[in-house]
Amino acid sequence: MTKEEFINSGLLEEFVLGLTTEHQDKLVMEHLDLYPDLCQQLKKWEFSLEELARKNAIAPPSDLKNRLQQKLDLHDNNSAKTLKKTSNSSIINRKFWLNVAATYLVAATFGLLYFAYQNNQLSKQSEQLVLENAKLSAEKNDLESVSRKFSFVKEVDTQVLQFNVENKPIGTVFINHSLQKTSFKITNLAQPPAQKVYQMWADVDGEMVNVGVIESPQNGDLINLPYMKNATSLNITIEPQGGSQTATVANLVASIAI
Amino acid sequence: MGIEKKLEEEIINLYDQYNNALYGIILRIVKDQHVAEEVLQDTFVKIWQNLDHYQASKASIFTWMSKIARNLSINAVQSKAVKKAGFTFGIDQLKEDNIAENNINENFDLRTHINILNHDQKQIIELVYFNGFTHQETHQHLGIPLGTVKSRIKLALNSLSHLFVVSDSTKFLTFFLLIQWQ
Repeated sequence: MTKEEFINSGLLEEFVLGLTTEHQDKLVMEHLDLYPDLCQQLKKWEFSLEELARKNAIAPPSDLKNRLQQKLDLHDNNSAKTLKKTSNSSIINRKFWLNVAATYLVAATFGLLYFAYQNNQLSKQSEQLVLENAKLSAEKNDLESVSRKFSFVKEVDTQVLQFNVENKPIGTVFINHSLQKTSFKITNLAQPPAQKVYQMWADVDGEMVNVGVIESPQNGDLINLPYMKNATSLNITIEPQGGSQTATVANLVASIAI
Repeated sequence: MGIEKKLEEEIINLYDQYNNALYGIILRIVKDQHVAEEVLQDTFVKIWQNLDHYQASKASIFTWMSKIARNLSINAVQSKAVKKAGFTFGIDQLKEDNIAENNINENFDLRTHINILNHDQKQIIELVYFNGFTHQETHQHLGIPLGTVKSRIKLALNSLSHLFVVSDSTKFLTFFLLIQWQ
């Protein structure tokens, strides 16, 4: 209830007049906590009604006080007897119920701990699975991408050329002129000398054009190379680390005509 | 001294302070002296049994006690079917028919203290506060909408606040001026 709704409900007036139910009393208290300025209003009304009651008071018979005292004494004795009677059994009952409660508490604590542990494990497994799934998904995407990239090697019009060193194959080149794609599959290329790399060149109009550097060749690797339209040959040289701007013909490893 | 005895003393102190005010409310609701005496005793027994539940932060002790007194009075009226007979019972009738003259407080005249209220406000305070009518009963009895019952109660409470708060301030001011004069 907003402050205005609460004021308009008339609950505060009913409360001060003693007409509210327990539930309504609770509601009034909640709203007084929310809107403390209304407490001032309540105090004023309480004071006024007390004054009104005092000014319109009627004295009861004078012996009523004694009668009340007797009634209170009677209640006192009865409640004391009841208290005594119930105290012994209540101690036993209390102990029993305390034990039951303690057992339940321990069981519930262990249960909760086990549940929390299981939950934690499951969460970890779940996280791991999500990570694995993401990794697999990424790998799958990579493979699909590679597969799409190199699918042309299976095409019928793809030219397949073999690089040989001393009559031993070191790799295969795939060229598809219609799709303008070139790739190189390493089959048996030794590691280059220390601080050196392999560099591939295309001979285009008599000029050696850089098409890629192979730092540490792995047999089975399929490398994508830029397609050179008018290339007449492909060459592999050994060059210093990082590659060279111009081919060192003296360090030619292999060459194939296209 | 045991806790029970201490509590009993506390109840007797409360009785000394509030018995007249509460008896006035109870008698006006039950309209029968013997019933009122029983209800007043029951009220203090209930106060004694529930004093540890009273929360001063929630309401004044008088608001709390008068609620107990009113509820017990209404129960007594309902159980004895007194209410039917005295549904339109007024303050004057109460004075004439139900209260022995020696029991009437000198100040007893509701009209003297609520003259500041107009007829409608006075009627509503008499019905709700001194006759224990609920809003619903007041609405049925007076034939006015519930909203009007609520607004009249609010106006009456505000007028009473004005009367008592202002009169108390006036008393203080007079007292202060007298001291200054001397």
